Amino acid sequence: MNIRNKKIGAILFGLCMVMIFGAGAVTGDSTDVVVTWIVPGDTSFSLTFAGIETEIVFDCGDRNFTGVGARSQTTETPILNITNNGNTAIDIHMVFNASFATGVQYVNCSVNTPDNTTLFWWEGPAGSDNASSSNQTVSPSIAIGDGEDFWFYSTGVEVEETAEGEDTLSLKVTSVNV
Amino acid sequence: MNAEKIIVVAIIFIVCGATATYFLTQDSVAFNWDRITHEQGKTIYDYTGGVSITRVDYRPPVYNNITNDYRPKYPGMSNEEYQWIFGKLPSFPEDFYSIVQLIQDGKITDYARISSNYWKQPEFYVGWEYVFNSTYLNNDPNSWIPEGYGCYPVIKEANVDKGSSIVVNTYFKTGYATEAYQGLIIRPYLPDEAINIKGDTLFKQPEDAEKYLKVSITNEDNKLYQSFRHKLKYDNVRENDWLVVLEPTYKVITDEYNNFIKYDGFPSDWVRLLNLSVDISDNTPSGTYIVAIKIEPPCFEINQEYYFSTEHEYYGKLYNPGGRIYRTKVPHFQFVLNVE
Repeated sequence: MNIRNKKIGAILFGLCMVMIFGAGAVTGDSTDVVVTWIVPGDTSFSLTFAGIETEIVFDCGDRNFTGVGARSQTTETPILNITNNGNTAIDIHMVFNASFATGVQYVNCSVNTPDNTTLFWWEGPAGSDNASSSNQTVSPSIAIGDGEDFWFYSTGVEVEETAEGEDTLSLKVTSVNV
Repeated sequence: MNAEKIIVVAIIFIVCGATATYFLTQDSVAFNWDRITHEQGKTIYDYTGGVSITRVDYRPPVYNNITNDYRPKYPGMSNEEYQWIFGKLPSFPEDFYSIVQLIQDGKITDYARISSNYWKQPEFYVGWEYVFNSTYLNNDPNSWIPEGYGCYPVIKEANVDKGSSIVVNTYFKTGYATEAYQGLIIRPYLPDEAINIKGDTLFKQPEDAEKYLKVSITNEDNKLYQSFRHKLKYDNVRENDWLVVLEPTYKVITDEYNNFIKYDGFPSDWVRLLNLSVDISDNTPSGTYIVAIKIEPPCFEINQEYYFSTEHEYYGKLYNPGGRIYRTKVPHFQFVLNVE
């Protein structure tokens, strides 16, 4: 092999190597993000409603009402069930994001029994001990695959006939040890 | 060796090199290549707060002659129900539980490269084994599930370079036995603080983070929404949001007399790969930042279009705007960025 041939071979071989190693560099987005830690948690949950409800509605029928139950709930079927579909036990806190309509005194929540005895409640007036904005732990621990049943009731006095609208019930779901 | 032979050999090398270039480039486009260096114990924060995370147990592969793959057999599940529940899913791989163990051990962490044959199986997620009996085999006709979803995993942490653009993934899945079409706006945002899965604060967001980080979800919006969005006078979907309609994972089919015929289980896209994109500007101060996603309900104008879509199965009572009443404290997904 003469010098000229060696030069041609070296140049072409070098070109080939540049292309091969260059090809590796094309995938360079790997240098942009290096994931160092992944928390394989799963806090999925599902909400089951009585009948075909998608929210908690009180059909009061009158300006004065005491312990009226949420529409569609029965003693056998709670208005709401929250099921833990994730991979850790969870607790559930509930809070309303706004004050109730004028005249609405209470919203009660009974957990795992419909008989209105295991109660959490929120009062209408802002600033009261159990104001609608108070964050309450209604379920301290729901195991994976388990659910919690909730019956809701409301009491009102001289509620304005024009009182309508929605209050937002927020769930605060966090993982807990069992 | 003469010059001609050298040239032939060189051409072979060049062809090989070009071919390698082509395939490697294609891979980088097809997947969001998160090069993973999983190092146990290297996390800078206590993301679990000591809470134990339950794992999917290993099972040796056993051929299932009902489904003609390696899906586990379930007591009480009829041959028809296997088809109803799993019929639209990919086949169940023989090495499914081996791969799941590797993922749970942190030995495989690039979720975008894992075949959907794995992550579209309900058995991929711990909750399935606990709820399939009560939700599918013994469904309660006196109630229904209009809302349910979640992410897996819930937190990722990564080291990123200033001036880079990155994409990270999480699996966004519909809840088990959900019976409504759920309209959701999935919104990326920069929260004030990062919190662990117990709800404890981990760190505060650095000041002016919004000046340096641009976040978006790059998944394509629901096609029906795309067809009517230009007609809307008001629309609360932002440019960097993802509007998605999750299909039911339990849908009862009846005849004209309302007699039960069958139920449909998981649609093929009941789990989707969520692509969270983050652009980090060149002048970003070094530090630890937090990006998260939250669920917002579509506005009235959008929902009304879905209710009115009589030509589409989203019509009527089966459509439910999710995230309308219920919000969760812990974001469905958080991405912790160590900007270096």
